[in-house]
Amino acid sequence: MSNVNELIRKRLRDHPPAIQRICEEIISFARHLPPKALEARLEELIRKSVKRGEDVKHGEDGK
Amino acid sequence: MILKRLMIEDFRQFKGKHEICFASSTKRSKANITVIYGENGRGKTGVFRALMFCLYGDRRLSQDGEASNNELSLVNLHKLRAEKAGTPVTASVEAEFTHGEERYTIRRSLRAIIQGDVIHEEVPDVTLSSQDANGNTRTISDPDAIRDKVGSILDARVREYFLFDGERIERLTRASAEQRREVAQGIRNLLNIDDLETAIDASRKLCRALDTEIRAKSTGEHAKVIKQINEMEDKQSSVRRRLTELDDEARTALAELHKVDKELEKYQEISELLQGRQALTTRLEEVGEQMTLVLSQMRSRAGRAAVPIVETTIKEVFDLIDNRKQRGELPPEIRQELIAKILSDGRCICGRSITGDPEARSRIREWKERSEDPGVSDAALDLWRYLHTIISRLDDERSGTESLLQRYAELRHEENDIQHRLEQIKEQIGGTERNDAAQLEKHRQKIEADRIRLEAERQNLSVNSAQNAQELETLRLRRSQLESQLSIRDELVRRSRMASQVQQALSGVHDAFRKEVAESISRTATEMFRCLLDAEGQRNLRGIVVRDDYSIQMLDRWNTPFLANISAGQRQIMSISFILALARTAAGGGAFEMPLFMDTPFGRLSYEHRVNLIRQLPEWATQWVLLATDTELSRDEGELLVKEGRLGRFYYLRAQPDGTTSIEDRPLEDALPLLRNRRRIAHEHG
Repeated sequence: MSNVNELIRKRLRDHPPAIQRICEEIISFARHLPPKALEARLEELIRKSVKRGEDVKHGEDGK
Repeated sequence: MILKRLMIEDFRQFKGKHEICFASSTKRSKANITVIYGENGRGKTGVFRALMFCLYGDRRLSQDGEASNNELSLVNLHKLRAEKAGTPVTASVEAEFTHGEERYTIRRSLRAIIQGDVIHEEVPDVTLSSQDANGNTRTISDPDAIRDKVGSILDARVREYFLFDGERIERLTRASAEQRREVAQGIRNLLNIDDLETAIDASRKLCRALDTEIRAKSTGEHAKVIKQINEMEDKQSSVRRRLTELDDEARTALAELHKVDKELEKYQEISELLQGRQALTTRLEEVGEQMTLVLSQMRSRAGRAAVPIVETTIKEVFDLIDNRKQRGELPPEIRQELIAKILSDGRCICGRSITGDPEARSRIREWKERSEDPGVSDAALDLWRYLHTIISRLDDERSGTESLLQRYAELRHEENDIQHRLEQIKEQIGGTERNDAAQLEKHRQKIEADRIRLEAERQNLSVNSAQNAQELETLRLRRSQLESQLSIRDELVRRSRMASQVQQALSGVHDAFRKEVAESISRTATEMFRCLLDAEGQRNLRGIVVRDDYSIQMLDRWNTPFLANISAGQRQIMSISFILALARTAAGGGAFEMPLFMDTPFGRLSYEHRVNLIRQLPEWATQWVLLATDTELSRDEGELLVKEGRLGRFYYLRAQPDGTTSIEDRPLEDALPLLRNRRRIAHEHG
């Protein structure tokens, strides 16, 4: 069903790159991880992104 | 999924080993149809059952109804009875298929013994082997893991969309609310929407967990705003849930209403009244739509409509300026600056000195006092022009507003009149001498009352939802402001903010994607449906609408719901169009690799529908397997299949003297003589 994923990816293009990347990654894990593990995975992705300062970059971009 | 091969051994009526190789289009051949042909009772459904058992472990099919397990023994009874009592017999089915780059072989078998007349079947064994493009193989035998794997290729909840009994497929259009939810869940899975929903759920929970942590560390307004946001989100979720429930209830009520109407149609005595009611109900809907349109036109004129109210003032001001204009005071003949210069120089523009002429000086001073400040005079002239335009349009505005009001009043009057007449019809039907008809009418009135109540609740909740969303937006903005003012650059807050952005991004994609998908399926299904439909249907039916919950509705040429009135054959065509449109949408507009495995494909279809299906369907589906009886697949259809170059394999189910069935692979040139002439079939079946 990669074509459907492509449609989802297209719709995410308006968002900042870090948000886009996190969303794509978490959707791809959604089928394979149980809810708690998925939540932990998302938290981890966000924690790393904040550490890299990607959230601040978005703010400066006004996005 | 492309089916390659099915091996059946001692399963149902197939004694011994039998093999079916399926046709699928390749670069060299477009033949993608496999026909499995046999008279009634030869085991076509047995082949279908074998595939469902092999892929999903199904012991029973939906058409089995109340039949006991003993009657539905999967192991070949001849073989079982021929064995010594207590000696087990193994039935097995093996399916080979490809999906993407991988090749799969799934084998499911079960052992049974017979004691007296009672058959005891063991829990089936299952193995799944896969081979990737590099030749690496892997075998699993854990039933749960195999179920998940097969489910990831074709979700069990939508299996009956692709592997189905043609006579029953139309029931997809009649499903109950619970079945609809189940099917919708399968479709969401097929389209990956459920992954999106799972991701949204995880982001929502994470946001809440981070907010709880922040609240524990915050004080004052910041903590209060976070709490309010969380409460509002909960409120909004429950409003959304209730709205979904209401949509479901409303649809169930509408379906029930159509059912009651159908029942009522059986009573000759009230048929005229029913026709009258149908016409009035349709007109009432039209009137309602027209009233909404007139109201929106009135709203768009609201600003201009106020002008006639202040008409007197407008005219007074216009006359005042106009009089001054007539007197030549506006615009002033000579500007103030020039008069001031004449007075200071003491010399007229003609060159005459006015220094010694007090009378001339005094007249020039009066003149100066009369002339306006240039700014004021320009503004007055602008106002004059503007009022002139308004006054010239006043009559048009007045008559436009009046005619709208009049139209609205007429519609209102017609609406009241129709409602009054509908009430009278209700009373007449309710008071009919036929007690059963009167009871039905009472039931109908109750459903109508329920629908009105549901609609009122839905409207209230929609307003609430919009208000909540606005309030939530304000609260989030306030939170953001507070965090900036308090200079909270704490990592926790930043993570929470990012989690919220992720949640909003995913929700936005979800809303847009769901809408896009429903529209795409509706559009494609309508195109396909119209290609398959016969000429009469083309005239009367407009198209298929897929709702948010993936239930389907048919619209007639006046765009009104018509599903309750279409024939079983049309329902079958509609269901097939929906399935193919769903498959195409799942494949992002391209070909979706999934077989259409149809038992009794043409049973309810007219000849024109069959021809259309044979011509069109192989273009849309990658693989088509037909399990057809001698009465539904005649030589005409067979010749057409061959002529179109689509028939790839033909299997004949031959009855054996001992009552079992053998599966014979027949060359295509031998297949056509096996099929019977359509006229002969028609003659035999009266």
